[in-house]
Amino acid sequence: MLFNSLSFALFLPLVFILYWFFTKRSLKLQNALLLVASYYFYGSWDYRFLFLLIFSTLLDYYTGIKMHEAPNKKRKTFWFWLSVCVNLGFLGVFKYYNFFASSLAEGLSQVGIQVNPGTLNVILPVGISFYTFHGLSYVIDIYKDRIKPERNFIDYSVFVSYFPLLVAGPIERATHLLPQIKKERVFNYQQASNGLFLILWGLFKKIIVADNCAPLVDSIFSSQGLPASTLVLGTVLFAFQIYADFSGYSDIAIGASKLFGIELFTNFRFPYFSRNIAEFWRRWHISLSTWFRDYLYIPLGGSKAGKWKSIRNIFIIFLVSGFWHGANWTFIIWGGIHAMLFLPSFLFNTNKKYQKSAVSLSGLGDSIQTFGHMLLTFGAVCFAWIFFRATSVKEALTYISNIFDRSILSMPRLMGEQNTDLILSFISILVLLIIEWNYRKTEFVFSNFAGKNMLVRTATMSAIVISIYYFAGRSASFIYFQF
Amino acid sequence: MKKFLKDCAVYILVVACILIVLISIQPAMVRTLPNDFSRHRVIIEALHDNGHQPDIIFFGNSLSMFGIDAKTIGKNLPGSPVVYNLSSVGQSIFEGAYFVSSVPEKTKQVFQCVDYSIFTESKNGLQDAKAMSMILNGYHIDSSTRMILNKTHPYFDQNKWLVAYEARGNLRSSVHNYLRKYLDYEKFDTNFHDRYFPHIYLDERHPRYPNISDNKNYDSLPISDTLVSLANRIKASLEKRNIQYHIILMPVNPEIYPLNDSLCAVYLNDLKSRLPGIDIIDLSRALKPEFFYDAIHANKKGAESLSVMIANRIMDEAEKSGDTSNGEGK
Repeated sequence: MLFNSLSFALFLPLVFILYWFFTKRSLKLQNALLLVASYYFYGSWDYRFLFLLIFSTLLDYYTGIKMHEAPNKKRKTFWFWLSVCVNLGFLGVFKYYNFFASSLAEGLSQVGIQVNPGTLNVILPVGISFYTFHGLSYVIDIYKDRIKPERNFIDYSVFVSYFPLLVAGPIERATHLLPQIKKERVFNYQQASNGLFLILWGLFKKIIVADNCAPLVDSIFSSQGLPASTLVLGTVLFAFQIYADFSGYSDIAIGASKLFGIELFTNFRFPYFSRNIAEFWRRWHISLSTWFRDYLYIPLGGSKAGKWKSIRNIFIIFLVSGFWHGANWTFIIWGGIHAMLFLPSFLFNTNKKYQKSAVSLSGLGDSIQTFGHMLLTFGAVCFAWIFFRATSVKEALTYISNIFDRSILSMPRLMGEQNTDLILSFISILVLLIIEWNYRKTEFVFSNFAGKNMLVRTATMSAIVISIYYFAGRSASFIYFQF
Repeated sequence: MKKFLKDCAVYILVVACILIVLISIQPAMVRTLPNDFSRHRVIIEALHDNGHQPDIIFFGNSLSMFGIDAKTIGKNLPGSPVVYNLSSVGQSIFEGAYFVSSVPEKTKQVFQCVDYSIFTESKNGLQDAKAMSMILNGYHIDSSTRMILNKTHPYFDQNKWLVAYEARGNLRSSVHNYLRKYLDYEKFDTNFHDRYFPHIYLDERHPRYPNISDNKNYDSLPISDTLVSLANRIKASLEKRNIQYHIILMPVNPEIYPLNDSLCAVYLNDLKSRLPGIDIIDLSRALKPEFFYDAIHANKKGAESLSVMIANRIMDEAEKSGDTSNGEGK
């Protein structure tokens, strides 16, 4: 059940009505309803995936309690590693086995040894990377004595499988989400209204921006002999496609959750207005980058482990982050490029710059400089996206080598209706940028909308619905579902 | 909660009202705004224009839109009969069949222009966008059309409101049609809605036009039953009304698609044997490369040459059968 489908448009209001009107505000009933709804939501992809999700939930629930009750450190560590190994084992089998097997075979063939390790013909369960990380954060936090285990199985199951975040995040923490699940929820007009507008804005980003860019990006990345300027255009369009696709999904997830009185982590904070790579990573897929920061980077020593170890840690976190996205060398290289881009900020101690303030323009000289920084950062991010989008390293390298050509000064070449698609994509990107620029100092777009005049709210909502009605792009799944 | 629900009700009501208005004006938008399928309106109007009924009609896709000059054909026939070119973008035999029962009383010959290899394809049906365009341009399906086609597009049995809702992509297509004159390499004429010669390219051959690269150089040309049986049903329906049915295999650029002579001969013989009573006119190799705008579409010189050939062919056939009137004045 996709967020941009008719079935979700029926499912969400139905769950909302049952949640607030048919549970008599009983927390137990509300949580039970959320669990049933979440399992239905997840099972609508493939009911077989449910078994894995339930097994993973049971495992972490049980090992969490066992760790807490363990009589000694040794026993506690045993339960901890059992959970970590099984969780990562599932991820490894479903997501990475084929990659490791083929990479090993390829590596051995280089030294003259031919092996055929065989590949698994299995479908990757939707959202496995996300809910595995949910579970992992929970057991790590218990192991580190940051939290106590959850005894109520239903409450814990809601934490793992809460439908707004189940398939593509934001990746939540037990410290943030579980207390909300256990606390009585009171309907809040402002929160629900914000949620509604965030859902609509997410749909605009996904259906209008991402889905209109998608066919152009697909065509440019799969064509040969295009001028360099068209390749650059394809990269820029992909940058907006992936941003609108993923942040659109996150907006819908966060908005849907607000309707049930539960706040989720902010996942994107206008990342393309970043002035350096460090700021970009504080604004892009925040729930994942903070997860890696808290559960990998800091345990490895973070930036306080001496210069060389810190550099090593930076590379580890970015490479693992790349690998988390998919079993392909392209993602690992993508992570490596970001590590390289991040390194100067770290070495010159500018990575903490822009930590608190959103971009603002004051004075012509200052504005030009700020704009230049933003453009440079965006250019660097776009360059790395080539590896993320390409299906192989060879394809990415060919794409990049074709960009360094004199034809970069020519006009981009598209065929027939693609020209119209391009204009519509540009208009939608412009609308996205203008609106996000206006809200860049807030937590999310339309954050103050509940207080606006009814006419303004209705007109905005109507404008978005009409634009979706007429200019919806080719319907497509969310990119991050594959991760 | 009450306030939130009230707000939601207002949003839903306003949005629903706006959508109802938009859906209700959708047919008018489809008829007014430019789009690739707006020739449906021309076809429907021409077939129901009782004051100007044609003697000869050409149906077909863009190959005949650009390759058949109906006025040239009319001028080259004795008595200058009224000839219409009612081809449209991507119009297959299947789509043409929807118009067969509307062919006027006065018409005595119908020509269906097709790609050379069309009878090897088993594609069956009408695109959604075309069905929408036909319905919203005023097309009404009748029982004899249903009989010819066996199975019609489901939109013809659906509520018009639903079809109008589904036709929302028309606005996007219109934007494209409007913008293409500024964005495409080609220079366009304004005669897309012409009943006689809707050739919209102004250039004879655009040097930068990329060649269409699909492979038409077949190793074999096996004929599929789907279109053969449809063509036979169309012929039977027209025959009942004393209308002759011809099929023209349209030319392709020999420089880009050199056809295999022996293979084509086998294909043509097979086709003739499976379409008894239908006059099949093979013009697949009738034009030299300089008469093409691109790989498959004729330029204006090519269209003139082809139209004269067709007129001569009609006269030859008429002489053979002893009828020199070509339907004119009947």
